[in-house]
Amino acid sequence: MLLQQLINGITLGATYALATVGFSLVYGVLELANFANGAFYILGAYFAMVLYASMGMNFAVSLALALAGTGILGAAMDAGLLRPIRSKGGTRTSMMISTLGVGTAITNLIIVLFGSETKRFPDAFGGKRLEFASAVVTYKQLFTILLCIVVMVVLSILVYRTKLGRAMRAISQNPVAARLMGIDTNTVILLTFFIGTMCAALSGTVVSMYLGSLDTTMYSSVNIKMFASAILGGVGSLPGAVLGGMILGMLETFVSGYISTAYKDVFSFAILILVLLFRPAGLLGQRTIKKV
Amino acid sequence: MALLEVKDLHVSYGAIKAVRGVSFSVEKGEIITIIGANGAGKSTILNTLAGVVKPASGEILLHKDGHEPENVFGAPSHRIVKKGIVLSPEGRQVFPRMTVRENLQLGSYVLGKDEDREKNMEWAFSLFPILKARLNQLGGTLSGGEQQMLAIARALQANPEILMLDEPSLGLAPIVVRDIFELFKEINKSGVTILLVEQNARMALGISDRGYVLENGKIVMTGTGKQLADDEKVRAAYLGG
Ligand SMILES: Nc1ncnc2c1ncn2[C@@H]1O[C@H](COP(=O)(O)OP(=O)(O)O)[C@@H](O)[C@H]1O
Ligand SMILES: [Mg+2]
Repeated sequence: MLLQQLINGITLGATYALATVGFSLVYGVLELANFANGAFYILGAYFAMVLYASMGMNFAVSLALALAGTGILGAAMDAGLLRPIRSKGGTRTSMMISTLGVGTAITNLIIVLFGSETKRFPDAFGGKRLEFASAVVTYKQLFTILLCIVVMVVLSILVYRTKLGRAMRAISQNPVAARLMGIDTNTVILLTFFIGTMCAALSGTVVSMYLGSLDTTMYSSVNIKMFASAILGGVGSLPGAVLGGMILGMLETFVSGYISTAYKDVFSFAILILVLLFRPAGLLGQRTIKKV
Repeated sequence: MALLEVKDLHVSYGAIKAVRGVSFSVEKGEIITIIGANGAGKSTILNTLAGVVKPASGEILLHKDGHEPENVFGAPSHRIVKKGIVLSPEGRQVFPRMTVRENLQLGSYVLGKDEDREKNMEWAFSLFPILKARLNQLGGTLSGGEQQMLAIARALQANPEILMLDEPSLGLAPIVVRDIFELFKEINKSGVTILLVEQNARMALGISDRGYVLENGKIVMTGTGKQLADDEKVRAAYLGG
């Protein structure tokens, strides 16, 4: 029982973590809460579902196409909507509200195209599972956890070991100085949206397969979970996104398993508020140094 | 033919006309200073040349050896830096949560793979040995003077043809200021043309070949460094009598 809860908790945590890293990547560079991220998460899952379940393509190919397609739309949102707001000196709030608008539009478009009923997402691993010590791990659970680790490692290398990552960090710390270094900030931000949105699509697809189904009500729930994980771990921090997601996933699983499903969100948010009271920047967040 | 020629430059922030018809030129190998009171438009000129502020009208002509003259008016900063015009901005603007090493690495962001970054970094350390001692320290934890040195060293990493320095002595101890102006001469001797903006006009004119006096967005006087430093009006207005 305990072991099983642990496995389920880690998997749920991994799904939250995956959903949050893309959000945190964009937040880390622009200090922008991108609420369209939740919509790209679902959109990616619908893309993959159509290609894989409806058109019968290979799962890996479906996933790759879904990621690329969603990533391009995320980049297009930046180029077509957010960049003009930035270049005219618009506020972060204007950008944030715009992402909320894009998120709502995408969700409604999905309802128009696919209807609001729940769609099935078949298990690409044909229900295969491992059993040990009275616990069961499905292949799709392993896949989810593994992907979370891989994405985390790849993103960490990207941000801390590549020239693009250094440019991203430069923009986040001082955008004007970044331009003075000769960094083409618009292109770097575009790529950040592309990568962040691909992460959202990846997690949406993986989660839908893990749950076996998807629908558009996931939009608001994933946005809330993503935001909560990000804030709990320290918004903008990649390790923080994973830590926040894991804590939230574990809490929900254990509260559901040992207390009651009805209380899982109550507990999660109580912990969130408690942490913020003692560490306002989140568990791994950096206190921002205000210039005097 | 001048290396850089600015003709009738106008720059506005909304309704505020910060630069109103400024023309000046910079010859290869010179040290040029623009002096002027707070708010005269000095930073606006440098930021416009660096491509981070968009000008309203005018021409900014760049004549590099063996190249056709080119109008870089309104070009984005990432193209300007590649052309060898690099700004060390007012207020230093180091990356606070990056180490000194990473700050310097960002300075050479535009260089190609085969260009010698190590050599540039060694040069910076020979000019500012303190930076070598601080190599793994975060930019935000350096003292004001050290941050200023880092900002200048960072600008040098891009192999500038024209190095622009905006108030490099601001907030520095007087003895350090003297040293830093000596370094500017040294940097200039090694072939870098320098365009300097300073409130510390006496020091700046002392090392400059020529200077311009800016008032309310317009150039009101020009001459050699010595001529300006000796001028009655300049002395009264900018050199404390
Ligand atoms: N970002 C800005 N927005 C609006 N006005 C500005 C901005 N930057 C400078 N100004 C105005 O432009 C004028 C010139 O400023 P600046 O170029 O910074 O002068 P200096 O560097 O000579 O002190 C001043 O009136 C200043 O208030
Ligand atoms: Mg200034």
